[in-house]
Amino acid sequence: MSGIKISIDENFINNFITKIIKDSDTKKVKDLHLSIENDIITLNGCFIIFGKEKNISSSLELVYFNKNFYVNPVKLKINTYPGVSKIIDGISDILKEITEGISFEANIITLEFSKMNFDAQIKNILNSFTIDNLVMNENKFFLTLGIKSEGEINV
Amino acid sequence: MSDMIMEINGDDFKRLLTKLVKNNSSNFISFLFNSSTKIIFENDSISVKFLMFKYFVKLIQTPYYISGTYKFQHNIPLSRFNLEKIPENIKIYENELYVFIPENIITKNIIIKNIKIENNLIKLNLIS
Repeated sequence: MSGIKISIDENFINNFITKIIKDSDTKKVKDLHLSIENDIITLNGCFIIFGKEKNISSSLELVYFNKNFYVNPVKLKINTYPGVSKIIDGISDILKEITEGISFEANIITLEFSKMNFDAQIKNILNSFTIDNLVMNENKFFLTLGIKSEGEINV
Repeated sequence: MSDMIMEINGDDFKRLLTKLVKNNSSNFISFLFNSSTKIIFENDSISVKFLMFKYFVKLIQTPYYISGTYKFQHNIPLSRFNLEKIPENIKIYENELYVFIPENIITKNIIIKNIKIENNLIKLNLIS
């Protein structure tokens, strides 16, 4: 076995999101759950729109990632109906509690890990990894991270 | 099931740690990650072989969340090392070593279910 093998169950992520929503004190998201199948993430959430609760469903698809994900953006396409900006606003609200480096334009969410405001040690760790494999299926993420050789760091 | 499982082999773990501590000038850290030091992960312990010497570092206590203090037992002869330059989040005493992982919104919401070290493999099972 080479690299780091990670499997994440969707229930792990859903419990985690629930805790983050609670900790972040966001007023726009009441509830958010995801399910994973065939490389598509389906999101179901209860959002507060103009003061009223609204259940919204959407899906996310990974449209671009480079092996060297720390210095190259990761792009996700969100497929939904008009009103999507409210979902993104809500999710952004939560994510901004954690970090910068997340933007949304024309239904594309862009993640730029090098711009995220993690501390230097975490940035150093992220910049040590490559994404060698990513599969989203059977209600799980399966991720294999490689470790960069010395010459690949900060490329 | 609501688990996250991470597996890393001992060689890659050493490579990763070597990158993380490469700017640290402590001779204790240099000793651990020197290319002539062999690190073996087995029986929930980390064995450190250097020349004819063999030392161990054993994880004996983990925090509830991934942030917090990890306590290890060891038999590394500290008198050989200058301990002033080790990273701030590591405290080392005779027979005991503590590693502190700071809390943030992510680490305080992830719970350690189990850490297993065997057959040169580190397996981390987390729940949220």
